Amino acid sequence: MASINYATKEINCKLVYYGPGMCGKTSNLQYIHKASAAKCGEMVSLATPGERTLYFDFLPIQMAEIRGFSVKFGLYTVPGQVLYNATRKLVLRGADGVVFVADSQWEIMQENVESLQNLKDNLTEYNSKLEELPYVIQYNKRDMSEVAPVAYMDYLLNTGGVPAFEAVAVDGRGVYTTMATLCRYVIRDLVHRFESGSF
Amino acid sequence: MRLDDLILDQEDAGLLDQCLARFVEDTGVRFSVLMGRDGTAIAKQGDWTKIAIDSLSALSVGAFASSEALAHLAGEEAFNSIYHQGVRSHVYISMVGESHLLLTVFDYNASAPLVRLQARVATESIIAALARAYARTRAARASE
Repeated sequence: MASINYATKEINCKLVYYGPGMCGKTSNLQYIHKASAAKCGEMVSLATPGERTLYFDFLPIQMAEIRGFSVKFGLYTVPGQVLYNATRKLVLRGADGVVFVADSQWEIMQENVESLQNLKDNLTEYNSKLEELPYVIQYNKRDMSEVAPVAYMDYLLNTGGVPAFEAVAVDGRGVYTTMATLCRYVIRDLVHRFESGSF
Repeated sequence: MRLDDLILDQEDAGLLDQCLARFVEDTGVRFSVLMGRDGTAIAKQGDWTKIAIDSLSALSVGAFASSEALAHLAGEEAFNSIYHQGVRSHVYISMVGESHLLLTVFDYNASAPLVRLQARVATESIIAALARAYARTRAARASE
């Protein structure tokens, strides 16, 4: 649910980082928070004592102005663990764009596929489709020893041919490229809908 | 138009601000925030300047969503509001139609029953103002 406020000259958009448990969704936000502290608000993490996301992480970030409007993105992560699907569905509500964070390790491929299907199923419940949303993929953990080739991950997870980025989120590699690309897509989508009168 | 997208022109935003300002004034609460169910703050009034409104909104929506899930488990369709009582500050969150929430933070200057009552009154005018904004946006689309 994007909102445009002409009185405050603000545009607000919601981006959701989705993916299987331990794939690095929270690491993406933590890196952005650390590296762009001046542009970010307070990061909220609702996590278990073991630092697994229990509900969501939230990071507000302010981007450059567009046509006199300040653009704010709310970045959310979902809990990846299978049993938290109800929570994932709630966090997904009103998303303007999605990053699917896949774990590049061979042994996680099945979980990647299941999580992607779960994302599609949950969007369906909001009468939405992944193909209709601004959407990018991140192949995270490329620094691990047993990783699948990008071509294979594309074959498994990227049948739509959306932009996909290799990443090592804990070191920041690929983090900004992923976020910046999605932000661009979301804004382009917004402008397109606005100018075509379909917003 | 996506169902829950929202454009507020100056007049819409002004109407919402008026609704919230009246509510804040009538009850003596510290501040009140109208937010979408996606966690985005739409309008705010009162003494909110030292508060991280974005985080507050995201957490409020999360807390309310949890209460809804609890309601289902308890055999209820939904809880219309939730109330967190603190030592000095209290938080009241109530539904505004299907897609929005009204968050109110207050202290000893305001009484909880009055806040609840006036929130219901304010909700009616907020719903009318939001309906106007959505209707105008849809009309603009139809005329394209």
